[in-house]
Amino acid sequence: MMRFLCDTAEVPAGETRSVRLEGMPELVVCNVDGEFHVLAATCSHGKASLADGRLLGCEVECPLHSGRFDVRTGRATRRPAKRPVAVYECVVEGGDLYVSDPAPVDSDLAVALRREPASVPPKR
Amino acid sequence: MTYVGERADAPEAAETYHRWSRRYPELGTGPISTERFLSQEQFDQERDRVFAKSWLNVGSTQDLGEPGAFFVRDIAILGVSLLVVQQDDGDVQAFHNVCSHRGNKLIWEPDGTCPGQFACRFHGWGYGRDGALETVPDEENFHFPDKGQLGLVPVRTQVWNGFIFVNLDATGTESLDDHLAGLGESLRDFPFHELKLSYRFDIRERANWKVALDAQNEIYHIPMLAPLHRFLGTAFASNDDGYTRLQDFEKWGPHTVYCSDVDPDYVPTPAEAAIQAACPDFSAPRLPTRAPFAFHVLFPNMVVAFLGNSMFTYNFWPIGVDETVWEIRFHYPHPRTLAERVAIEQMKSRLRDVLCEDQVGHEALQVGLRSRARPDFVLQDQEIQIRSFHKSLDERISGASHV
Ligand code: FES
Ligand code: FES
Ligand SMILES: [Fe+2]
Repeated sequence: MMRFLCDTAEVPAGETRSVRLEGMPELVVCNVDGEFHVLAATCSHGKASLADGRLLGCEVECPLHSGRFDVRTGRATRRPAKRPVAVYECVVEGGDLYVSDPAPVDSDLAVALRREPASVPPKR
Repeated sequence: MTYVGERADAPEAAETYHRWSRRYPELGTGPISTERFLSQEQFDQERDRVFAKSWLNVGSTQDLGEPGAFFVRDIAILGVSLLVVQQDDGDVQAFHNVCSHRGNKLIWEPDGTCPGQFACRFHGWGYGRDGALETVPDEENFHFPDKGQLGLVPVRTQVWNGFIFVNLDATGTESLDDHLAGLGESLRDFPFHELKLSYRFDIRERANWKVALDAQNEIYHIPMLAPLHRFLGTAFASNDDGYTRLQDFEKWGPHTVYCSDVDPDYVPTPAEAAIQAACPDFSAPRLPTRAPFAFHVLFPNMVVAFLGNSMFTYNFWPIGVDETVWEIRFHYPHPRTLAERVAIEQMKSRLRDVLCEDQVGHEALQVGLRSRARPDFVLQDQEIQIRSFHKSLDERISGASHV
């Protein structure tokens, strides 16, 4: 079931935005050079929202201890964060962004992806 | 290769908290007082009962090398200057660096080789490498019967694995081996000779010496201190939440070691990956260390730590209650290729930068403590080493463990 997240114009390239939907954890929408990624917003390390953090290339940095996550896979790429955060599939239709499935990306695949070292070094 | 002391059994299935305080209940769980980092009275007791009576590491035989080679070691907390000299038979002997004539500081150079005699700059009295007074200009005009009584005053000196120790307590009877006890034993056969002193940094910092030592004596801060510490991940295992977990902690009298295993989940930085690709051999363990990271505290103020294939030593030299010189020495195996030489240079720069982060932290800690905002502070299980150190210090001061 697709659910509306936001107007893509509300998340310019290089920015993040928090979205709250009924029945789902807080989400963070990340715009990496026009490509959208949606993750569970709560940092896997502590009590902080990644939506308040900086987007650096394809990594989002937690505002509390600067742990980082690859927004494409949810993998933790910088300590102290170690566990991944859930990622959600999304689609753009007519300038609007939707989560395609309220369940996070299949966990086996996600875990495999998250364990793989990042091939693209983050932009600074 | 396996690490010495590595255990065959599987890691504990379920995370258990308070692992070390349950193993060492005598170390307690209470807070640690602020005043012990600030009080002059505490400092004076540390001087009189600990530094004045303990074996202190003042350098290594790598600082010498040939008969007659010497270095001068000023120990501010004890108000002494020592002249440490390699003897003709290879032994090392320390003397008070004080001329017997009028008490001038004899040698002013930090190090060098004795040109036959150590000559005093004031009136030219000359001493042999063995401390004997050999030359007295206008000797007949003095009134002493025998200049044999006027040699340099020797200080008890012993060498362990190339590390030179002195003990200023002329009446003390404890040998260096007895002092190092189990810790000395555990490193007895370690091939220290394969490691060469490569770099030395002496950092003067506005912090109590115990603030600096304590801050190094734990790895709880490693994943957190930004921006560089968290990239030390390779050698610092953590649980699923990213919290460091000691692989081992052991205590021999006042000395301790804590160890950390490698972190299999750590993803090397691009620079690390490049170095590993250039000299894969160098990244594999070569030395029989107890663990990928092993940090030994030799009471009272020395650290011998192994990190991968390198060794670093620290000496924390108190200058005053809130001033310390943190002496840092990096040792590496002899490079076999140019790539290894470059790798060592990179490791050095990286570790140096990490320690700069620590230094800023030490001074910030002192600022916080000095405010006396809180009468005490708390320690967690991963900081058990700090508890152990302070307990040993208290025991020395109260005389409970005096030998
Ligand atoms: S809470 Fe996000 S890194 Fe600690
Ligand atoms: S968190 Fe340890 S001193 Fe503040
Ligand atoms: Fe540190």
